[in-house]
Order: sequence, then structure tokens, then C-alpha cells
Amino acid sequence: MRAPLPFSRLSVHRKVILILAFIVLPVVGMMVLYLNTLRQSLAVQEEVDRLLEIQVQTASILAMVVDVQDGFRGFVLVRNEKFLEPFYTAEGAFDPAISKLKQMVRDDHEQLQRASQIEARVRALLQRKKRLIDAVRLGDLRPALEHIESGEGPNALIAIREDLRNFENIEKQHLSAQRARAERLALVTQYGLVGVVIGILVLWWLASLLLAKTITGPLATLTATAQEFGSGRPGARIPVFSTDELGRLARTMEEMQARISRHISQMEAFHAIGQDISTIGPDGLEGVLKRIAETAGSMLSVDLCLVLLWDETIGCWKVGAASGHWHDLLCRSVLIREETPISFKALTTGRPQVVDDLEARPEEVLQIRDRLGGKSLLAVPLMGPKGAFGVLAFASTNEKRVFTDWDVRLSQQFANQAAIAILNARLYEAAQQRGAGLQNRLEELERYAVNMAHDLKGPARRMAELASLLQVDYKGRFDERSDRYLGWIRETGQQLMARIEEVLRLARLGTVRETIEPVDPAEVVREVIRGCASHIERLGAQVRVVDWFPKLACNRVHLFQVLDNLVRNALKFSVDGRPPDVEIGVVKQTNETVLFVRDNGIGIPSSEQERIFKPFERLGHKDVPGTGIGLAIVKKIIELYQGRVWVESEPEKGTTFFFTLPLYGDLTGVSVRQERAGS
Amino acid sequence: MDRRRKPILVVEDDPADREMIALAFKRAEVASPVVTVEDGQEALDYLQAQGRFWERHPEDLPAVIVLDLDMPRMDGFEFLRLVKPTPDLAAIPVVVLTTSEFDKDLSQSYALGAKSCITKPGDFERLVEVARAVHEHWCEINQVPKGK
Repeated sequence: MRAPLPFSRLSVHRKVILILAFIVLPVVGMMVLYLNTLRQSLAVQEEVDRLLEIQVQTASILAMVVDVQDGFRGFVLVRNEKFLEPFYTAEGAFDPAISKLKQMVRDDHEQLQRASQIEARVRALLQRKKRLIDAVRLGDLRPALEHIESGEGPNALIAIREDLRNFENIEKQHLSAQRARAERLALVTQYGLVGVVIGILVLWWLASLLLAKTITGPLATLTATAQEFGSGRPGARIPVFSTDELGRLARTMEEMQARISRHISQMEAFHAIGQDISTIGPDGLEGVLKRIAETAGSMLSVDLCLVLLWDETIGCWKVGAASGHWHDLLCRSVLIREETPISFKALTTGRPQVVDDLEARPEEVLQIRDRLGGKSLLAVPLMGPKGAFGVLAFASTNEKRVFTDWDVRLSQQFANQAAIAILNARLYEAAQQRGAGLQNRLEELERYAVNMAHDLKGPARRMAELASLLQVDYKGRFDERSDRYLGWIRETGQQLMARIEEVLRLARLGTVRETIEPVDPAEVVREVIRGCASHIERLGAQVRVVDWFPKLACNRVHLFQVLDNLVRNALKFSVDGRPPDVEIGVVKQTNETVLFVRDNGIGIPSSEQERIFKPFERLGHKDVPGTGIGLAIVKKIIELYQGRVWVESEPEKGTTFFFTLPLYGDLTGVSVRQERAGS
Repeated sequence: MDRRRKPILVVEDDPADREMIALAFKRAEVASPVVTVEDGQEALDYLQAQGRFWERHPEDLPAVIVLDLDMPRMDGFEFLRLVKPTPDLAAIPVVVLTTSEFDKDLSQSYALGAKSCITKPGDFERLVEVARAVHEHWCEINQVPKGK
């Protein structure tokens, strides 16, 4: 496992806060910067306004000074009081103007000094002019003219203008410095803004990466894992290793997956076990019990699992099987009821019983605790049709164990399956014991019958041969009666042989593999009729055959035997004085094609129709020659092909035998081995 | 005909059958002599000119052997098994004449080298026909190596 990064140790809450802080901080910084710039530009504006005001004031002061100069000159030259009006107006306006100017530069010590200097200069000028005006009024014109000629006035004006321009220039310098600063700041703000936007974008990208890595990524992984698990794939380790909520969720999900997987595998195992334990092998019931004990024990991973079967007749338990090494020790031993109260309770109540701590029951005598060293016990009943017939006991012998609800449910489910398996095995064993004996005896009898028939054939043949030898070789030496008797002996021997041959043929049917081939029944019918030709002629019988037959898939000899037997039967059981009329044909029924052989013979009463297919049933017509086995052979052959043979008959009117055989090209349902003839 | 007629060797344990078969050959007016023996062992003695047949002419081997299957001491199969690997005797055709109709008996006979299998008919007249047919086919038509 990878060591968790410091960041990934934080909780999701802190991670989100941290990531948001990463974005918010530069935004705040940028806002501070912007506000600062704004403030600076406002300050510049203010400065500009002030400078304009200052310019206005200095202009008005200069204008005043010009007015004073012009007024004074006019008055002196014309000596008209009217020229002094602007002089006094200017004088009156000077004080507020200069005080305003001083007020505006009150923070700037040097400018204030300059203003004071201008004020002093203007006041000195005014003072001088006033004195000269007074002198003029008193009639002394000379000083005034001297003053004008000396150019003192314009010089003072120039000086004042110079001072004012200086003053203004300094203010202008201040302004441009201020403006430069503001511009710089604006530039910084501009680049700062771009930088901050880029920074935010980068941070946003980083934050999204971080979010993806720490939150959405793990969430997606969890979702994918959950989906994968949901779609049936087994859960692997979820690759989310952080220690935050998501990490914890991942671990919880892992646990959940593991639990579900465990349950699923238990269920699967359970299903497989169901089949496994139900399979009755050569070891019969004992094997079934043993498998139950083993699989149940390993399914719940307990140290000991016992299959306890309650024996009603002696009123105690018999250990049917035990898991592991306990089996040899305990199998077939007997446990008494008093020492197994918990299992007994499970048996009587039909409900699972759980004891997590057997030692907490010191007052009771408990076999499983005292003899087998059980620490915890779970007993589930094995339910049969008439209530519980046994108990599956799960014991933990090494350490105490808490059997969970799941354990109990699972074991009960298992016990239900096991119960069915045990009951089946019991039934099977009982049936097999009965059946095996019967089967052996039947097979023995059959072998015996076949051998005996075979052994009888030789003597029967010999008898017939010897009789015919006597008849031929000693012809004329016997009288007529002896000759007749010899004839009877020969016939009896030959009948005996024929009958034995039929028996042997019946016994051989199905034991010898026959070749299935496409057979045209029309050809076989022709052969059969040819074989009976003399018979037909003698009886004056009529045999009608349908024009067309479907091809059949069977063994040719088998079909011959079937048709031969049926046709011979039809000829044989005729009504006296009525020549046999035999019809061989085919009918299509709902979903099968049926061949039939119909006659106008004596018929078979419906009560007898069942019996006729059994060997040696001849319905009391002892006068009609035959072995009584023909129809049994027909039935056995038809059944080899999963076909059906049946009879419809009306006494004195006639009989029809119907049979089905597989159609060629439609071999479904043929159980006989299909082998085409080699050539 | 100048050359000696080779005999027909009948191997049959049942005395009645033995006699009947011999008689059937006689009634079939077969020119070849018929030699009858009781079982496979005697047949072998005859073929090897030993035992009670020690005086048999060594070149007097049968034209055909008519063999029953079910016999005491040495049955037909055992006889076939012993005779067929012997080069001098292998060329003698063996006709199995038996009551058995079991496929496995027939196929085993053929597997062991029998040339023909015939079911005993249960009628003397038919038996005569069989005898005639056997003689005609195996003694008249069939050719075997002339030997030394």
C-alpha cells in the first residue's frame, strides 16, 4: 500500500476549505490592489482640481496687480478719480484671494512661504501706490511721475508675475509627480489584474485537479467498483487509499463487498453442495451422510459437524456421520437424549438452537461439551415429512464462537437440503436392496431360460430328423399307422424347434445391435407375401396392398418380422368358410404415420386385447397352429424404436393391427444405435 | 477317376447325429468316403494320423471337415484354433454344422477360419440336401493345394 500524502490525511471538509481558500485569497488580494489604485487616481483628480483652483487664484491675483498698475497710471496721467475704481476693486479682492491661496497650500511649507512673499510684494506695491496717489491728490505730481518714469511699477509687476509663475510651476510639478505615480499604479493594477486572472485560472485548474484526485476521482472509482460489483464481478481491492471520509467509505465498501462475496460464494457452494450431497454414489446412504457432515462443517468452518439421526425405536441418537477425524471415532455410536438437551430441543421444536458459550451451563450434563470439548454449539433440525428426524450439530471445539444470524439461516437451509438428500438416499437404498435381488433373479431366470431353450433345440431337432429318417429310409417297411405316428413325431419335434427358435429370437431382440437403414415397406411386404404365397393360395385369400408407403428408418429384418407375423396372423385366424381378406396399408394420423394390417377374421374380444401381446397367450385357439409368441416379438421390435403397436377389433368382423416406426429422414426419437450399412 | 477320392471328415459327438449325417451323405450318393469321429481330439488324431488312426495313409487328408460346435473333450472352436495355424491343415475347408443359431457362435466360427456355417435342418430329407450340397461344393468344385 502507498503511504498516504499529507494532504490526503485531511478530511474531505478541510480539503474543500483549503481548495476554496486557494482561489479566494488571490481574489481578495486583487481587490485590495484595485481599491488602492482607485484611491490613488481619486487623489490625483483632487490634486488636479486644486491646481486649477490655484491657477485661477494666481491669475486673478496677477489680474489685480495689472489693474492696480493700470489704474494708478491712468489716475496719474489724467488725474481722474474714475481710473482708481479698478485699483480699489483689486485691492479689495486681493485679501480673499491671497488668503485662499495660502489656505490651499497650507500643508506645503515652501509654497506657503512663497505665497507670503507674493503677498508681501503685492502689499508693498499697493502701499507705495497709495502713498503716491495721496501725494497726487495733494497736488504733488512729481513723485508719481518719477515713479512711472523709473519703471518701478512694471518691474514690480514682472517680479510678482515671476513669483506667481514659480508658485504655479511648483504646483504643476507636484501634480505631474502625482500623476506619474497614479499611472504607475494603474499599470501595476493592469498587469496585476491579468496576473491574478491567470493565477486564478491556474489555481482553478490545480484545484480541479486536486478535487478530482482527492474527491471526484475516488468517488468515480467507488462508483465504478460498485457498478462492477453490481454487475456480478467479484470485488477487488478498491484503489482509494486516503484516510478521509472517502477512504473510510472505500474500506467500508470493501468490507461490504467481501461480505457479499462471501455470502455469494457460500450460496454457490451451498447450491453445489446441494447437488453433491444429493448424489447417491456407490457408497449409498453412508456416503451421503459423510458428505453432508464434511461439507456442512467446512461451510460454516466449524471444528466438528455431527449428523445426528434420532432413532425412534430405542429413543436415542445415532451418529450418522461426523466431519474430519471425528468420523471414525463417532460414526454409528449412540448418544443419549439426556446428554444432548440442545440437539434434542432442536429436534422437538423443529427450530435451530444456538449456545454461544457451553461452559456457561455448568449445571447440565452436555456430551458435546464434556466428551467432545465443544465450546459453542449450533443445532439445526433435519426436517422430514413427519417432523424432524435428526439434527445437524455444529460445534466449535477450539474457541468460543458466536453463530451469526447468517450462520443460522445458512445452516438451516443446508439442513433442509441435507434432509431431502438423506430421505432420498434411504428410499433409494431400500428400493435398491429390494430391486437388486429381484433384478438378479430375473436376469438369472432369463439366462437359464435361454440356455435351456438352446439345449432343448438339439434333441427336438434330432427327434424330428430321426423320425423323418425313418420315414424316408424305411419307406414301405412300416404300416400306414406307424408311418402316421412317425409323421406326428417329426411334426412335434419340428414344432418344438420352431417354438424354441422363436423364444431365442425374442430373447435376442435388443441385445444384438441392429443396423438401421432406409427401408421401403413395399419391398418388405412383397417379400412377406412371397413367403406366404402357398398359404395364400391354399386358403384362397385375398391380400391387398396400398400403392405407396413412406420409407422407414429401421432394420429391414425387424420390419420383415413385424409384417410377417401380422400377415400370418391375419391369414391364420380366419372365419370358417370365409376366405381371408387381408389389407396392408398406411394412414396418416395427427402427427404420425401409422402402418396397419387388417383382416376379416374372427376378431379379438376387447377384454383379451391387452393379453395378446404377451408371450404364449393364444386366446384359447388351440386348434390354430402357432407358437403364441409372434405378437410379443412384434411388440418388442416396435418398442425398440420407441414406436407403438395397438389393435382394433370386432369379434367375427375382423381385426386391424396398427404400428408406428420412425420415418426415414425423421430419425428423432430413435434410441436404437444408428449405423448405416457399411456398403 | 484315377486319383483317390479324399474322404469327408464328420466331427459330431452325438451318435444319432453322427449316424444320420453319415447316412445323409450316403443317401446323397456321395462318391467320397465319409469318416466320422466323436470330437475335436479324435479329429485331430485323424488329421495327424495318430491314436487309433495311426495306420491312416499320411496323404489321405479329408477334402472337407464337417464340424459340430458343442462337443465334450474338445469343442469345435478349440479344434479350429488348433488346426488353422497348422500350415498343412489350414487349407482343408471346415463346414460348421450346428444347432446353434447364436450370432456370436457363427461369427466366432468364421473368425477362427470356418469356411461355411450351416444350421442343422430338423428334417432328414433336408439333411440329405445339405450333404449333397456340401459334397458338391467342397469335394467337386472347390480346389485345394495338391500338396507334396
